[in-house]
Amino acid sequence: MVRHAWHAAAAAALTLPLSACVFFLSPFPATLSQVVAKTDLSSVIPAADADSYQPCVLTPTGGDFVVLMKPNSSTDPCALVLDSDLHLIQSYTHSQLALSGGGGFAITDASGDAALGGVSFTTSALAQGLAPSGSLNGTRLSAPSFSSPNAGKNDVNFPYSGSTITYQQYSLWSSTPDSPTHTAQVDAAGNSYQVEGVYNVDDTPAAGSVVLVLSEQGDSSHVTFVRIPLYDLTTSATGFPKSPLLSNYTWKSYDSVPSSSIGFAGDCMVGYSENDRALNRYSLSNFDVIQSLPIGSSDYRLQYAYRPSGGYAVIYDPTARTLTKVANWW
Amino acid sequence: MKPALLLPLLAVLVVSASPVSAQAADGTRHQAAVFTIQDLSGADAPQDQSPAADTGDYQETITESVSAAFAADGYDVLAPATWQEEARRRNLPPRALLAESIAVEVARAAGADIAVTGYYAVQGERIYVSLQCWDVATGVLAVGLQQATQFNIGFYGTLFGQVTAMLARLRPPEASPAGAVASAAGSEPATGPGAGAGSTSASTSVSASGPGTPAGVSPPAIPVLDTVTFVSPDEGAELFLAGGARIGVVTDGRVVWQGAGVVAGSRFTVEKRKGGFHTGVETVRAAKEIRLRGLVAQKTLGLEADWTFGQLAGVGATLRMYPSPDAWFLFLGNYFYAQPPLTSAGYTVFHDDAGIGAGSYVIFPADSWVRLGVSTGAGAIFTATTGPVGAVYTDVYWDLFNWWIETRVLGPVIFLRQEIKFTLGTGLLGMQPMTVANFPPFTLGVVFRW
Repeated sequence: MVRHAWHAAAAAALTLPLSACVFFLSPFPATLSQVVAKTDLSSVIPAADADSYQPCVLTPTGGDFVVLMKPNSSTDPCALVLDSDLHLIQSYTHSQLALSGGGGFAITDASGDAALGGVSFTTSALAQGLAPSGSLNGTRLSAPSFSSPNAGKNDVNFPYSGSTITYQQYSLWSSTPDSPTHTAQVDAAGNSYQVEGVYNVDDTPAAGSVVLVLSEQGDSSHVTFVRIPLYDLTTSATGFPKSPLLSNYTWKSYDSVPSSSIGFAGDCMVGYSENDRALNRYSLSNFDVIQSLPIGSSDYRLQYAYRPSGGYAVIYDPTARTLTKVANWW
Repeated sequence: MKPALLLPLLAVLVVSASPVSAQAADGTRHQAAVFTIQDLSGADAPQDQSPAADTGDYQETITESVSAAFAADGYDVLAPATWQEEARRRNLPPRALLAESIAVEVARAAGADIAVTGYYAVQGERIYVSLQCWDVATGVLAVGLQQATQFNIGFYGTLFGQVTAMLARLRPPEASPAGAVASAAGSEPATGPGAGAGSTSASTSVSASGPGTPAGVSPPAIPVLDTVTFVSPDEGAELFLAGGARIGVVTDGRVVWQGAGVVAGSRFTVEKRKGGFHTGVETVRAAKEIRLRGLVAQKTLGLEADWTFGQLAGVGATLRMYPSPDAWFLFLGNYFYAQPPLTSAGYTVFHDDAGIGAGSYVIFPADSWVRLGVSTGAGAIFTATTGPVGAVYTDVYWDLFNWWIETRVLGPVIFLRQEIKFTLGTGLLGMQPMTVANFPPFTLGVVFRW
């Protein structure tokens, strides 16, 4: 009996360390243990319109907010503003955000305010749920945009689709965009793409970079990351960005990565790979996968947004109309 | 090839108690069952039941020669199919009929008065033949023949003549007194397996030489064991030969099988029976002492402790109830485990997996060192999150198909099981196969049974 117990103990001692590599794996999403906040928005989001919202994390000077915006719908509410603990602060209509004509996007602008649709909020105004504290001088954020506080530029409205990208650059929110108009073909073949997002991943004026996330027209899960020097997107010199983009800048494509899962998380890009059934971290230098976290299958309707300075992500579930805050898993 | 010329018989040893008649007292002809004369060439101690590849072809011809001699002497020789059917019913391997008790039993069942057994061994240019005629009524040896001679095409004619000569010395089976039986040449056993049974008389050797035969040729050594002792840890267990003949009961750890008459080194199968234990079937090699494996006790309950990969911060326990001992079972299980946070910013999540189902072993018997099994069932996983977001979820699943392999080589039963579960979308998991790192979960466990 003692011999048998010894054998069993020896077998367990050998087996358990070998199994340590799968210690953190589970049939349940690994991120389940990283959930730090969750809110039910079913009382403020109409079920029929739930799919129209997209989350983003804004970090205006001294602030940290989660915003659900409606890029492609004109029904109200247009925006829901929550604090970083996912407490709902305020909801805004399209008219309040100067978006009477349709939906809009939100960014943290070059002056450190939060720009939503066609207006801006100071951190204080947004935190208190007040009316907009400023305007964008007639500009409306209707497509993916980014800002460069160090360069004092807001590069807005990267087109939703087409074979070329064209955007407007503003020095802060001047009434007219800088000239010339920035245009570049995406690839030499003239294929059509859709800009899913544009992220200022390093705001160093001379050496910083912007990551452009493109998807093939009609297939939002076939994504291409393009790293473009910040200078090339913020300079007023002609000939920038260099055209075609995919011939002049570092890029990499992935299949089966829904664009809705992609975001910039401070030190990497993150996306969910349907092939790997895992969350992947992608290098900012060459977009190789640098870390994976298997989480099993995931609902393609989930919308992810990451805090640009790192720390957490928020996941919007349009089916349940819930917003979940998940601490970063790396 | 053997030389074409007939070479003389070297030695023929025929022993009999009295002349015989092929007719019974009532005038009917005697029935003789001439079993296949077995080829024991190639080894002094035959290791298996198969004839040697190059000498086994003579089995049929030699057997036919012997049969022809019996027929010529007025015996009714049973068609082989008659006794082969009886042997088949008893699941007997060919050499089992070398055992006197078995041969007599089969011959009797086939309706014969005389059972004829025998074997031969070819060594180089020579052949050694041993034949035994058993009185079915009394089970004793009526007459025997051993000869060693050159092996060529003339051998068959010589064999016919020697068998005829042997039959001339065979007294009527019904008149054979127990003990007045044949023996063998020199110090060799008179017969093959089973020869010892009832053979108590001193042997009388009669040698004959054919023309030109050099004298003094010894037959090859075919060691036959009259007594075999079985050593068994299962006190009180009954031992049987395959086919049903009872050997004895294990007493003081052993069974002595008198009159075994088995060829040393040959294989035969023993069946072990004991109440509360699984019947064991073991094929052994004949030796003076044979150590038998212990029987496996029949278990009706089992308690399983297990760990599932990906759920190692916990433990599972499953109660097995066997309506059919060690064959199939119902189970009731529970697995509680924690899902630790990935970073210090997270919080531990707790899961409890409760399930029921049924399982069955397949392919391998209860006393195998390795066994396979399959099971199915259903269950639910209750999940509780901690930290600022406390909630409870329930995921109902169908335990679609599990299979496992287990072994007792380390003592307790240790198993590795793959589980294919399908969640029904009632909680955190969707309607999908349940996976860990994209693979069905594996569970390692140990089972204690009683």
